[in-house]
Amino acid sequence: MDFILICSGIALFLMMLPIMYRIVVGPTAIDRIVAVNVIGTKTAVLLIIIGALFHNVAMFVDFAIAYAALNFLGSLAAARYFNRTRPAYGQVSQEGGDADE
Amino acid sequence: MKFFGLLSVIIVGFLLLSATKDFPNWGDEDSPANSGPVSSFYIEKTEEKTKVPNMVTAVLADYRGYDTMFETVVIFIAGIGIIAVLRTYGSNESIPKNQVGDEGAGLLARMTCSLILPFIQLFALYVVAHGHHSPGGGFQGGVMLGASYILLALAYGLARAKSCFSEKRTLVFAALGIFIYVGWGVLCLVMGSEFLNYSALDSILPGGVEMARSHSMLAVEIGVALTVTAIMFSMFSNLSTKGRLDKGL
Amino acid sequence: MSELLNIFSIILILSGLVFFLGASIGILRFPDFYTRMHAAGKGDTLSTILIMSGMAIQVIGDFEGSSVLVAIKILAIAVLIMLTSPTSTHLLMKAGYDDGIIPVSKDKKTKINDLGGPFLKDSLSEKSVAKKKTATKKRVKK
Repeated sequence: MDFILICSGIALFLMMLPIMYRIVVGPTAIDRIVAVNVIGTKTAVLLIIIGALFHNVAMFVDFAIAYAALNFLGSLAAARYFNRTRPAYGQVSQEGGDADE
Repeated sequence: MKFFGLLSVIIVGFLLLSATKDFPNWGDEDSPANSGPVSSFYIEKTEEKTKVPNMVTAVLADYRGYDTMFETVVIFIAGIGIIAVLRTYGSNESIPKNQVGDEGAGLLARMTCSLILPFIQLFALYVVAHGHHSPGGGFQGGVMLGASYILLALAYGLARAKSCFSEKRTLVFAALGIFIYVGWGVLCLVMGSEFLNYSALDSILPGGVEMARSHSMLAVEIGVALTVTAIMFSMFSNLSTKGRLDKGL
Repeated sequence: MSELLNIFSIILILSGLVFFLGASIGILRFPDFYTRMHAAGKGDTLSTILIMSGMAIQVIGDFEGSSVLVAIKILAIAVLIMLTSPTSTHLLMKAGYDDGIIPVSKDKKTKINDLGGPFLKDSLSEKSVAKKKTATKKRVKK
């Protein structure tokens, strides 16, 4: 069973690499946030798998809950920030930044 | 400019990685951390003397109580500093009237937050109270609890969150946390022992000397959690509104 | 019985990995923001739920002491992600739409206003124009 867990953990990590590419390249800022959100969700899964490999899931599951909750908080904050203050393609907005928003 | 940033990051990263060679090996018996009498004392005697299975909590809240107390004070000072720098009073004319008041993030986000907020808060209290047995404690639980209020402010608007956790209440809670911590130490002093020596409290707490230390750790963690919660929310509300506290993100 | 549960959990984990492979390729290869969002929102949520369910069965399989509690916690994470991940995808999609990200189309003539959404007009153009006017008025007054 450990073999399957190690393999699935490595597979998860390898599948995160294309998403990493999207974080680095992604044409708009929100593309990057979506990619970060996906990686955050999968990090919670990886924490559970690591816990199962160490035979100590009871400890790691608390981290995973906290990580999942804070991940949602982060994407919500980013969505509201970009909804109001910034255009998508990264130019500075015309009325002199976000000073009065 | 970006290129110089990348170059400096690579150079600093290389220096940091090259410094890791000088660390002692993993589990090296002769390293200073392992050869002294202190670590072995903690490892062997902590559970026997304090009845706390999680050694980290015992070291953090009992053996090194001074350290944690002033860490909490540092967080308090950071929050006070942010308020002192950013907070502006009086009306600011640059905002049009119709933009004051923050309606939140839409129906879907509000419904989701109303579903998950109670569980996040419950989990935060669990992390605070269960720090004796599993990873956790005042700082982590306080961050989760503060994050739940930040989530409320993001989903329902800052005005809704401020009706639960107003600015005055924030400052009162932040000070109350430190008051609990220091007051517990002074209580030990009054009972005729050293400052923050919890074993003096066995005459007023149930369960003997060991359980007195265990309960005292819980009380101290609650103080830390109150301060961290209040300062987290205060920082968010000041930073996201540029100190005006009128309209969230 | 235990053997059967084991095989079932392995099937769940592997199918979750397959769905995540789809999400990953979709995020890498799809042409524009909205389609990438589609891959991220659906594949990510489903694969997380599947892997979490597999791990919960895996943990509960040995029936030791508190393992039921741990399994319930893992399922709670799955429910949490099932609630939060589509919501954050929706919010980010709306943020991108308000910002005026243009969807890809065959003739490359689609503008964001052609979608008929109410968002762009009042969130960016008119508001910013109005703000500009008020700002200049203030400057003139001063």
